[in-house]
Amino acid sequence: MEKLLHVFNELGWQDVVDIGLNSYILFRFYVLFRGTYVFRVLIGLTMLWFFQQIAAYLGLIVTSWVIQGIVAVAALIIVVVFRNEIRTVLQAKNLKSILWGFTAKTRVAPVDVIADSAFELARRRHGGLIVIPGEEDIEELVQGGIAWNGDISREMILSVFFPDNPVHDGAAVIEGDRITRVGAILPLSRRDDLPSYLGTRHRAALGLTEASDAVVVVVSEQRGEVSLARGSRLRPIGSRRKLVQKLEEHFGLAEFQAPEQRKQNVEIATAALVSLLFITGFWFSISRGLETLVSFEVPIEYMNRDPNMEIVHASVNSVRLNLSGSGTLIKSTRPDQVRVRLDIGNAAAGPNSFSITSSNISLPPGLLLKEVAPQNVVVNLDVTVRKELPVQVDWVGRLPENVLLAEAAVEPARVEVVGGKRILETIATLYTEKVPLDKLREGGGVIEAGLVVQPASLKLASGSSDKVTIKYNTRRRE
Amino acid sequence: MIVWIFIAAIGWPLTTHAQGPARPAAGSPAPAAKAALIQAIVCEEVKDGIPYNASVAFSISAGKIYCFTFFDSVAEEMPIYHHWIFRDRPSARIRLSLKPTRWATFSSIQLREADKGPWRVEITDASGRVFKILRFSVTD
Repeated sequence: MEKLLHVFNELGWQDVVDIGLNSYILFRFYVLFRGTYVFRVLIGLTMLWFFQQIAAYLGLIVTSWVIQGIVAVAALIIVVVFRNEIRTVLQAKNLKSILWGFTAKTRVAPVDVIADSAFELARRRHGGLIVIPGEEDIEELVQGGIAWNGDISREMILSVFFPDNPVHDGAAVIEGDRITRVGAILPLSRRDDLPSYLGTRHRAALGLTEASDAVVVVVSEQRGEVSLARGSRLRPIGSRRKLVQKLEEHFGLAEFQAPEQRKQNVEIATAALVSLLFITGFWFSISRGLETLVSFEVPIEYMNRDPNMEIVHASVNSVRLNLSGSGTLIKSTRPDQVRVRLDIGNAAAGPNSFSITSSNISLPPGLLLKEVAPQNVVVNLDVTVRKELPVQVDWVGRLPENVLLAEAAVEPARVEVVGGKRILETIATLYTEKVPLDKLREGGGVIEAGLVVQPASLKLASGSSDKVTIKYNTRRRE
Repeated sequence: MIVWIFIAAIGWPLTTHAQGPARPAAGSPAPAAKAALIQAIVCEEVKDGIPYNASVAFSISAGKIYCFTFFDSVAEEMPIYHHWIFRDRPSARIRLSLKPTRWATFSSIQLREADKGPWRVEITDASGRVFKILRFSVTD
């Protein structure tokens, strides 16, 4: 128990956010895909993954490999086979309904009229397709039809779907207490798991509800049956009372929660709890399992350096960090995720001593710092100045015995460099790269040589060439 | 690095072998001294007050090299210095005397293997004002 409390005490805010965020993502995943085949297959895959973990834990190597292979292939197959369903959920719904789909609906609608009309159509064996939009805009999903914008009434609905009416095969769209469009064409569902007795009318109803939060009342011409399509489900409605109840739920008109609604709320709450427990367990297995110690050599990054100062020397360029964490986390840690930063914004010219503490070190979540070595860094800073230095040729090699290098003029004779004041105080000459004497032509000539700017902290001032021209003369020895 | 230095406290009046007008040191103002530098060279040999084989690159096999300086308009007896500097590190500081009115004097160093590289000789008066800087290399 104490150990458990200790573990919870060590949880940082990042860990809580990590668990919370992922639990919510899993929960939303459930909400978006529940009732579809995708979700069922995902549950199967998750179970397979658990079996694979158990097999690996028990040392059943081949079994573990086989399940792992199945899971990998199945994950790919899901994307290919259920691409339509996935696209429907991820693209057709708006961002709000993907992230938070519990908005209560407040609009008022003539539910009784719709229910009466639907069951009257069923009795007469007239087909019907009545669309009642939700919060989402269905403008892009519903094509064609004739704009009407007439008051809703039982007679009007019956006449729209009367078999001799030219628009009776399309859908009627009801917004508020008005029929806004008739003869509308709905997108067909791409599902291939629908029963064969369901015709185009039912497929059209599902096509719209899968892609939006609308509900569609479908009246079957052949069977005289009323169904309600909502989300990816199409349910037969046996009575007028039931249809009224369902429509009231859709419009948020129900004064009390129907048993179905309560059941749904319990289902949602359970899913939320399971998501939280699952992610918490998964998180602990990843971040707290198999504690491992590892040592990283991390270069020190110096931040906020005064642009007029430069680092002349540092006692160390990197520090060794001893970290602990789960083996999984440590294996997945990239070098750029572990950083040591020193703020030298307040450093003065000369040696500055800094202590490296945990505030200077950034680690991926889940890794803990055990030790830093060395703990102190001395950084020598210098003020940046410009200085003009004479250039001298660094001759090497040997001329023939009877020849002398009489004179050599360098152009430019002086070059401006930029570097630390203290360093430049000790430097009076800028040398060329080594120029071999044995390559010189007898009598004289012109050659080019590069400049050697040392130490590395020195730089040629902008505009200064890194090469010089040497004009030389040779003569015979006296 | 071991540098063998022979200080030539040798100086003598000169009337004949001044080889043209003295050039002021590049980048350094002519000192308001009581002497004018007429000639300054690094050479392989000084014989009878005359420098031989002046150059800007000397083989280590030469064994010894000289810095020869010749002054005119020396108002009174005064010291000058030859600062031998190897790669920006002072190697030797040699004090020499000038006497009125034209005077030549020189210093020298013995070369060793470790002396290969760029050298310079700064010729200054007692106050540190530079008459001229001579640059050369000691090579194979």
